[in-house]
Amino acid sequence: MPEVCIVTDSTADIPGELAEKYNITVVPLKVFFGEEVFRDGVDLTPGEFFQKLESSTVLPTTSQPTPAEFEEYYRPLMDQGASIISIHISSQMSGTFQSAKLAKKIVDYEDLEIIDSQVVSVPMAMMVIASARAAKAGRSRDEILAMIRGIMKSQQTYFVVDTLEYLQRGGRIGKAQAFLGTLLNVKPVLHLKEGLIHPYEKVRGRNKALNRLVQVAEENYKDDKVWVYLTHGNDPETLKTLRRKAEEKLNCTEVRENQLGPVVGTHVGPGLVGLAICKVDGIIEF
Amino acid sequence: MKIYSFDGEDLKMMLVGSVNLLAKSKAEIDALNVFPVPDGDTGTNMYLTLLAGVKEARQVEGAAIGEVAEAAARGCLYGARGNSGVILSQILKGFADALSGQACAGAEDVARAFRMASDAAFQAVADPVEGTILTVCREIAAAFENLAQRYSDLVRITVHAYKQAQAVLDRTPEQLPVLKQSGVVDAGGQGLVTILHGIIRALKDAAAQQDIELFDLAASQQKEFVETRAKDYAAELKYTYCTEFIILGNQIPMGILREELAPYGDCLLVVGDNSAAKVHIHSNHPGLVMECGLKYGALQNVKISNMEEQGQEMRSGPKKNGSELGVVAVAMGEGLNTILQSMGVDTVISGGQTMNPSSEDILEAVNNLPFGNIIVLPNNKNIIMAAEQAAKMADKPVAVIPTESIPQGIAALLSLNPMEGLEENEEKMNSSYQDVVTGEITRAVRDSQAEGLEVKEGQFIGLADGRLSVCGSELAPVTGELIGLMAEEEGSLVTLFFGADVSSGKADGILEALEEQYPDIDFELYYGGQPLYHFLISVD
Repeated sequence: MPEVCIVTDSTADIPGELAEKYNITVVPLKVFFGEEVFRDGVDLTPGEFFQKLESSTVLPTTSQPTPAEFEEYYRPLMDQGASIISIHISSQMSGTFQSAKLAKKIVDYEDLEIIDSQVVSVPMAMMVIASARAAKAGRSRDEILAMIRGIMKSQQTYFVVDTLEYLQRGGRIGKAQAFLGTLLNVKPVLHLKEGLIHPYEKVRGRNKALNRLVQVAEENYKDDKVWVYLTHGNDPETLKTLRRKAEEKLNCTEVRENQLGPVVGTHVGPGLVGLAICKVDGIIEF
Repeated sequence: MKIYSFDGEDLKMMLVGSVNLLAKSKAEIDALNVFPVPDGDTGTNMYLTLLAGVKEARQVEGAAIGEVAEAAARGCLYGARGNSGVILSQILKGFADALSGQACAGAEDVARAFRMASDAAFQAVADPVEGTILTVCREIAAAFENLAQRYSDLVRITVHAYKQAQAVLDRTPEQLPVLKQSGVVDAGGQGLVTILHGIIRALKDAAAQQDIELFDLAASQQKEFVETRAKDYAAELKYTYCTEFIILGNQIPMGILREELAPYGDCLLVVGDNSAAKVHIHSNHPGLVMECGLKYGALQNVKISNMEEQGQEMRSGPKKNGSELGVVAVAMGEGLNTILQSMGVDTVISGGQTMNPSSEDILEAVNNLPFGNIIVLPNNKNIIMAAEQAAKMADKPVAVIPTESIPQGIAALLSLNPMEGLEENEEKMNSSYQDVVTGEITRAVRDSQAEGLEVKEGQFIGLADGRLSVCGSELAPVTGELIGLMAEEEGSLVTLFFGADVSSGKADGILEALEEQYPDIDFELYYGGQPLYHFLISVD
């Protein structure tokens, strides 16, 4: 049985040491500050990015990896004769998935599965890390693909942003545009659904917003053992509070904290906190 | 004088007697308010509701009592304002149902009609409480039933029933502790007794051969909209342009303004105070109307609409329909209007404390929205029933979220998700609107002792979720103290909406003081522009 190798892109926001530990190949997207180009997570760490975002006079833009870049990452794995599973940002948010599919056509390699995760950031990280660990534990390609489908079905992602401004400007606001234009200072609670950002509800006050995130998770996963992956855009204090609340209310078997990387950060702005949650039993098993 | 049966003409005459007496007594009934807050409007609401019924009844030609009663009930149903108005409309509905098809009614018929009226009133209230209009209504029915067994002269029966009803009313403070505390009888009950009293007066006047004219206060009253729009535009439209604006000025002479504007059209309404007056009129010369307003200050929120066009649109039916969701909310104050609209409200009906919109006002707003499903936020305890009545009359699905305050309305709007349907939204909004504590700061309208506080007329008072909680002579400390009582949790968000009576400089000053006093609380300040209430406060 060939070894299964997991490929993803930098919008999973998986820290470098973790990628190394689980043997995950990360294809970087690119961030542009004016003329300057950075490879997401390679030339620019999350910390550096948010600093730059504050000081820069130009607003960053992003772009997907080219098929040729994908090819570069796929080739070595193909040469090992690996079974490749390549998990990517929602095709409705980025052209990355399309690029990967084009690359597959170019390399013409049978055992390469390109997956549209329909999500981005921590929920994608959860999918990727679970898959990589299952691969390490010797699971087959088909078993891992079944697990990914299970996660996609059970998993939910809720997050709060400070402002919808970044999402709107980057054109990634999705259906959450319904929440634009409110005169009161409200915190929009959003969720990922069918590959897009959807509005969930509005909350007033940061405290309440954090409580709502956990409450909603609690309502939907009351009696389940769960994995909870948390993320933040340059707000570690708030993340700590969210983690405490989540661990108090949920039956977590694995909790992980990530930070938004430059590409996702460009589109949501600082001040985001959120969580991805998924049922464990019958789904994440390896 | 003895009368053995009433016909339709008699009923019209009696209703006119009732509505006239209510017109004269409404201020006294308004004052029968449990708390010293300026929201007493039971008398006004019952008067306007009955007036709508009387106007409809007088349209009926012919003298069958069943038809007249039915028309009166229909008019009341549409004109119902406030909870007492809605209950009154149900009383008339029960009364009319009992007499359906009859040409005239004898003592036993009238007794039966009052019984059905009482039953209908009880059914209208989810949670009937003794010591209210319901008690009075039931006892009136009982009195008529008893008396009808002994007498057949309706004059005698009615006089006796009136006396018994008065006695029942006088006992309401024994049944309802809040009434006793405030030293008042139930306002709705008083309204009903007044209606009975008016009937007796009409009967006496008739005996003295006096014709009674309908005493229509509405057109000259401040806080009343009656018949702002005619039913059939094509047939009845005399004036084409509905003209509305607000005048901001100093010492606006409301009375003179009203007199000056009256010749330009009909449905004239001038409300507000001498620093901000809202003008509404149907006229063929909106320009002249505005010129007239300009003499007294700056104009704002000018709105002129061609009612002929509106009428045609209404007749041709909604353009957009289907499953889309519209939201109607009730509020007073331009700041609040704008905020609500920014949160997804499609139509804001002007109204609130002391100015309750009628079921018909709400129904009209619901029907005019080009959406297939409507959510209504009454934002006032006393508007919920009228909204529910409107929901029943509407020809599309309407969900009323029983919000009792603007902060509750805003809390409900936070969970409004336009991507989802009516039912999901109704469920979410119902479970979220009580997530806030509502605070109100106003002035006491009279001396009072309640909740262990000694309140002097004119003092500032603070209410937390409708309970009188603090009082004092200065606005800032009363506000501070109330917030101390309301915001217990660290990290709470307190939102202040300042009213028309507070300058933005003063509001900013109070905000600064509050931030100093409560460093662990987040504060936000917005202009609400609401009358009477210096601050509306939301604690999230």
